[in-house]
Amino acid sequence: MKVVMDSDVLIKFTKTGCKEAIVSLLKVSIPVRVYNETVTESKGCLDANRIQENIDNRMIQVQGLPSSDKGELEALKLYKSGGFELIVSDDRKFLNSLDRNGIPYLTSSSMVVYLLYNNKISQEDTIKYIDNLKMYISQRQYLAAMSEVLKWVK
Amino acid sequence: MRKNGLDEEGAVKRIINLGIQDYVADLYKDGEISIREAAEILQLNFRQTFEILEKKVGGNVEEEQEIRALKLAKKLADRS
Repeated sequence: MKVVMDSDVLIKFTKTGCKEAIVSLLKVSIPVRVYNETVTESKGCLDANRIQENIDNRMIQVQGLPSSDKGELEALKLYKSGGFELIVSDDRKFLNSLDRNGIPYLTSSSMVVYLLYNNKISQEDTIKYIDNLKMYISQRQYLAAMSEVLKWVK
Repeated sequence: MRKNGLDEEGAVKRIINLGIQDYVADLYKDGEISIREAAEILQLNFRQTFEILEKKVGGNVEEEQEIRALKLAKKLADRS
């Protein structure tokens, strides 16, 4: 499955240690603006180095051309260029816009649950990853995702 | 009076900055602005803004949005 990932989610996945599981299962692409935000402008951050490593070993693809568009618009343009299943973001305003335009999306926590549904990670690991995300996501988002995980039966 | 290396003018600027950050964090929390719009207002880059909002707000996704995303995750997993 090919997805376009936004900066906030990419940083959260890297900080919480679940990025490797995600990039090994999915084809993750980011627009140039997201690369700049998460790596170029983040020099010195440990997670920026890890993202660069994933780009160097082609686990994450940087796609599209540099533009003066906002990151959300670049992500949207990349999605519309074709071949992508959805966009991954945790930005409510951006998600509202995707809802209005009928564009499918996953959030950080629902992406982790997707790994569970695909039997790529255990229920215990899913709980651990969502707990790691807790400080970066809203309580509503956390509770909805955790509720889904706890009622999940293989 | 000096505290933490700040003179009076520096202290006032810092208080104003903190007030602006709180105001922007509230707008972000309510979904009125995106992180990038917050960065424009604060005149910071994405990363710096992300770190501020992470401390002040956490995230801002609504329950309904998360439930829709979880349903899509299930649908995609069933398909694969």
